[in-house]
Amino acid sequence: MFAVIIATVFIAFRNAFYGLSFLDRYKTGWLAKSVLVFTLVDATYAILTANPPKQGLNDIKFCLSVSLLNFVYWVAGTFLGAVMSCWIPEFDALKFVLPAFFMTVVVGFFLKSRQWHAIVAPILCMVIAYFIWPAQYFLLAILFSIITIFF
Amino acid sequence: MFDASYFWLTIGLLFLMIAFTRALPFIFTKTLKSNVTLQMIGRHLPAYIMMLLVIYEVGIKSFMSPPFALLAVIALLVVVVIQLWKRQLLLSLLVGVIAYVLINHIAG
Repeated sequence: MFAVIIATVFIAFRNAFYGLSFLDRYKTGWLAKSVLVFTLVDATYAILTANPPKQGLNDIKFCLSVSLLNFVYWVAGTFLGAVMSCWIPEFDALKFVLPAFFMTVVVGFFLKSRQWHAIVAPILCMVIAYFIWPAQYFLLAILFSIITIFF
Repeated sequence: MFDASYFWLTIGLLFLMIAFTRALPFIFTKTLKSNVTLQMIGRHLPAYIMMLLVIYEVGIKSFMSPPFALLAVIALLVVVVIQLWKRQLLLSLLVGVIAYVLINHIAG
């Protein structure tokens, strides 16, 4: 059990970095804020950072609906998949949807910043991190990426 | 043998740990907000993490040995071209997935 928990903490720890981008944005009551904080998964992070609020505007409602919808889709989808796994044929192509979606977000960020750095540096970080610590390369790659931001 | 209490204890602890890691930056909001360096990281990091997520979701292992995820990279380039051309998310995803299937089919 201890090994499972340690492994999960390392995987979950990347979410701690996601929160850094929303410290100013999540200005709301404790209940809504808890919901926002605990439903901040990869895809939600991608959608919200790709759609920043207009200057000085509060877009909590938008954040909440994106977070909750993503969370419901995710839980319901996983549940349905587990229950009906006998009847649904394996559809290999669907696993490409997620990287393709993140790729469109990368394109969006590049069009805004016009910085090759944010595309090249993570690739290098990922490869180096994988050689150093294959089990937790993602977290390590985030740390390396943070360092490269300062160069 | 399946031990129910062990199962629930593990689930409970995992929930607490995940909740804690996600709440961490918000627990220290005041300290973090006053730190200019951390503000800068919060502003720039999303772009970097998106690229990391692309590689992560394709699977880093497939990049590390021949053919270096070539098929997925070609399909991703198709996504980029369609996105730059039309700026329609769903269209890019649809064409991307179709391209991925076709490329895999052709390559066998």
